[in-house]
Amino acid sequence: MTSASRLPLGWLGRRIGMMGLTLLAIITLTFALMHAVPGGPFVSEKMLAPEIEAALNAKFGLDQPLWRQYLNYLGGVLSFDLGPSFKYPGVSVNSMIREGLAVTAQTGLLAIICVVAFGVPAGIVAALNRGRWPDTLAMFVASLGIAVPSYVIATVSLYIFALRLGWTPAFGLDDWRGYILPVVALSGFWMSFVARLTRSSLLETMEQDYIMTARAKGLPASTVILRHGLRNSLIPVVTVLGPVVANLLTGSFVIEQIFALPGIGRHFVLSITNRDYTAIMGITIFYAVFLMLMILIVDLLYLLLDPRISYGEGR
Amino acid sequence: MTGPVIAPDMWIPMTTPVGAVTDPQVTTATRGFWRGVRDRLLRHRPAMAGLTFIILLVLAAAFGPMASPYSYFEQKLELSNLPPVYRPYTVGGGLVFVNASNLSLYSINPEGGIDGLLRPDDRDMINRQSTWVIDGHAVVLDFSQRPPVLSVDGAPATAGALSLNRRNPFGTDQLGRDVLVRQLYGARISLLVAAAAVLTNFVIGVVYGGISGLLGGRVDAVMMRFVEIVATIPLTLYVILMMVVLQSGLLSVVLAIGTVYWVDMARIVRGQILTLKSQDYVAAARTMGASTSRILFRHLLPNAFGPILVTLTMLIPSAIFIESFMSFIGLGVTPPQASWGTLTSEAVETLRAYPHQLFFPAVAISLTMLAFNFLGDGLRDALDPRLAS
Amino acid sequence: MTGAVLEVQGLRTEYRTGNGIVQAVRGVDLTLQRGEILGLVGESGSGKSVTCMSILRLLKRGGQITAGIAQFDGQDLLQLSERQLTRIRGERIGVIFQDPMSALNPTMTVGRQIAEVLLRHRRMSTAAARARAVELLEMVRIPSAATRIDSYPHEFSGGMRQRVMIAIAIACEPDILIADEPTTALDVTIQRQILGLLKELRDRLGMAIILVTHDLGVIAETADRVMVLYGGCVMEAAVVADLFAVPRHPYTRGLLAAIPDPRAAGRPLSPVPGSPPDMRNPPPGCPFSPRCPQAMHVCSTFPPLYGEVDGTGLQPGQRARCWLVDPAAPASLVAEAVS
Repeated sequence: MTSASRLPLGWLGRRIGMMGLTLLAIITLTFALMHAVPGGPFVSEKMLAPEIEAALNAKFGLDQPLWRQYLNYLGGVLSFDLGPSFKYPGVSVNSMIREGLAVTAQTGLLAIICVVAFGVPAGIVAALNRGRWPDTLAMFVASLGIAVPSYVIATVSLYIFALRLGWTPAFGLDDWRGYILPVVALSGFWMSFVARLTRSSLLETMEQDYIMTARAKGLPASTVILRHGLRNSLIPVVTVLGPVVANLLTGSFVIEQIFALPGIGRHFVLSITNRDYTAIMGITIFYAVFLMLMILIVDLLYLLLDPRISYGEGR
Repeated sequence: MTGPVIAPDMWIPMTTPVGAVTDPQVTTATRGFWRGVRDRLLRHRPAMAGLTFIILLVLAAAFGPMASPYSYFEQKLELSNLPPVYRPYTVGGGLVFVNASNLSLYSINPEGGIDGLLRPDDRDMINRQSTWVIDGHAVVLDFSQRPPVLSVDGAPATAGALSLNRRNPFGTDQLGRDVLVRQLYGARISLLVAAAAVLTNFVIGVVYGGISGLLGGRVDAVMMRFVEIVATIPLTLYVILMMVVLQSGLLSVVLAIGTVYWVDMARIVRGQILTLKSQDYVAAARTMGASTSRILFRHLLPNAFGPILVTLTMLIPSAIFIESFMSFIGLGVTPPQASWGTLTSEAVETLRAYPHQLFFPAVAISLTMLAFNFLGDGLRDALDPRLAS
Repeated sequence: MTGAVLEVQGLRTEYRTGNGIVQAVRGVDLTLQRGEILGLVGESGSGKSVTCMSILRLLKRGGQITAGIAQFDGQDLLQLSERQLTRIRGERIGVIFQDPMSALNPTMTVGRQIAEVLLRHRRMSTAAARARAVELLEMVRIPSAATRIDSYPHEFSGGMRQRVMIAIAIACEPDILIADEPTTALDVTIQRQILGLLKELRDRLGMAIILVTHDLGVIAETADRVMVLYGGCVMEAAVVADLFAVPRHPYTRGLLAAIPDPRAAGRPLSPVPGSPPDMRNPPPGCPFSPRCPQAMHVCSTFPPLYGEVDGTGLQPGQRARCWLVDPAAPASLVAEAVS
């Protein structure tokens, strides 16, 4: 097999089929869960007159048999329509997501850039200085980053830098400085995680036989590390980036709440407290699709990085 | 060539080669694996520090609340938002304390506790002054300025040295509840959730992975597909959906968290079983009529014990984190129950006026997470010395 | 084909481990003649690999050379700076490792891995390096080299990968090739092919080879001279034929007795009893004395000298580190041992 024909179309097809199956499972599961909630969606409302409740139920199709509702919903999702919000008349779940997407995507993207731009170099520096002070320092900071919950980083830094020192705004993204604290709080854990992973992976790679071969070739130490060590050690780092993106998203629930950012996460938390079931379902499904796409991209990237992987034959 | 001077009797053959008898390598090799693990763990300083902290935390969470005269739910609104430390003013024969944020004056008992709210005899909202008469002294708090100025009989009063609040060592919250006791209850909830998570996920993981690995074939393929699907759902999202369905409350939290982390465990157990299945002594045990469960418990678990232990230890901080995360966004335990997450979110509401209320839960959860992480790292290094740095 | 290309004297190498300092090499002398194949043989842990890796200072983490010289082309390799040494490695001295499965970079095509050496040490264009890489692959007998050059290591079999390793090692036509157990990880037929290839390349390129192995059969088939290592010391050195005909060290005799003899099928093998010494704390005398059937009291007390001593039955060029070859040794014991 030559490297030119390595794009595995068959694998891609099967993979997308599998994704469809997973998505169907998630839609069914969320639908079932949301309909398993005791009481209807309007129960929390104070004493609706029966006829109003009936009218509301009719409006949202809740008077129809469950299988019908399910098929309706499924049809909607497949045509990219996540339905109307239960709580905000005239607002669709699609428009809620559209509204929040820009904010969430911006902070998320900045966070993932931070994770890669700081986490990977920190791990490399630590590995190359194994046992010396840069290693100790980087790994100490990383231990803290892994241990201190994101919401604690967010609230404490909010107090210190926004309220006490006034260096950054306490909420909103009107100013570029407004991005600093949310992005740091969002990426802190994963930056530390990636730094540790990069360090251990590079250390392990540098113990491999082929590193000795590279040294025996008379290559300078920098070439040995960069060309032979680093590239191979980054493969496991790339594989975690998919899950990292997913977890940044769920992390954004609390960060967007603390810094009052109008992102999808905030909508999601609000819809939970509001018991806005269509919004909960819709945003969950949106997350699931996004996540699966991320994992697919990472797998393709993996294929590009590691010639040993072939998704063509076998499993 | 010059050599040592050798006495004639040195040229006599030895009767037996001492060979294998005094071979130090054999004694090292036979030294118990677990003894080595224990020794390495004991030498791992962060892990030992973590373990010490965890033991102290468990003791404090278990017995601390019994030693306190306060309960986690008992409200005393007039003593709300008290600080852990204060600067007293001397008025007549007694001491008073000014809470600058809500402009209240409290009397201090001889033991050093803040125990009574002093209601002003007059509050002048135009000149922004409150007046008290205490032991015949006119005490005036001028809050037209920032920070407010207290004067006694017309002369500005000077604050005394910083003193500890003996009534509530960590202060009180906005409903006048003792923060220390609520912290300890928070620790109880965190540890409870952690214990439940470890236990349930262990059982589910071992059973699921065990069935999948032992049965193999089609069943295994289907079960592992399911694991793949579950693994793609972010855990936080899963827990949130569970909480929406189950409604808030401690039991729901335990239920939700108890059922999310079994995937790794199941994979480890299955992997170990597959390795074991290919080994001869399991086949031997099989042919000698050992039952599946016997094979599982006598052969498999001792072998898989190391990785399982590390996974379980690493699961604890995740469980503690996710409980506090859920409680922070209002989906976890319900008031008046205190969790480190709810304590933090309550503190955020009053962050501008009483930042110290954020300090305690933030430090408590961070240290606890750090302690469990250190212990987990130490365990992993001790079990696999090759990885140790 | 005369004159030494490499002379190592008094080499000592240690490894720091979690459980103490391992004295892997304890004063090894080694002379490599131009164009010869020198076999280094011994059990694992005898220090044979560490000896030849020390020559190029290619030590794993924790390894440290504490004494000795390695004279090569008028300079002491052990005194060169790391930068100067990179001009020797791959260019003047090539290395082949034991496990071809792990010694090649999995994410780089074999062509690039070969061209990399050429680009480092020779002034040539990328295209020229590539063309030369194809030639090298043909030289090591890889079929359809021109297309295989863009393959990744995992697309080759073990024997083919070892050929690629050899191509890398000989790319710059080095003076010395260090082959560290080059055939241990391969099956027997492939092993013969690789050894044949090494001999052929020696004849063609005129380089000297240090061949490390634990297999005396490989030595008999390939090497000109042989050194037997044990406990970080050279036990015996001789021309291959002499070593097999008149071994003088009890350890060598033990090794020879442990070779399966097809003519004596059914006769039980006689492995050397006991296990190698703990090199963190080696015995004060001869390292083999605790396992030696002919050990004398002197053996466990003083390390034997290593010399060519006349009149003790050693062949020309044969040296043994054993008290039994000392002129002062009782003749009766010597005779008993040889018989």
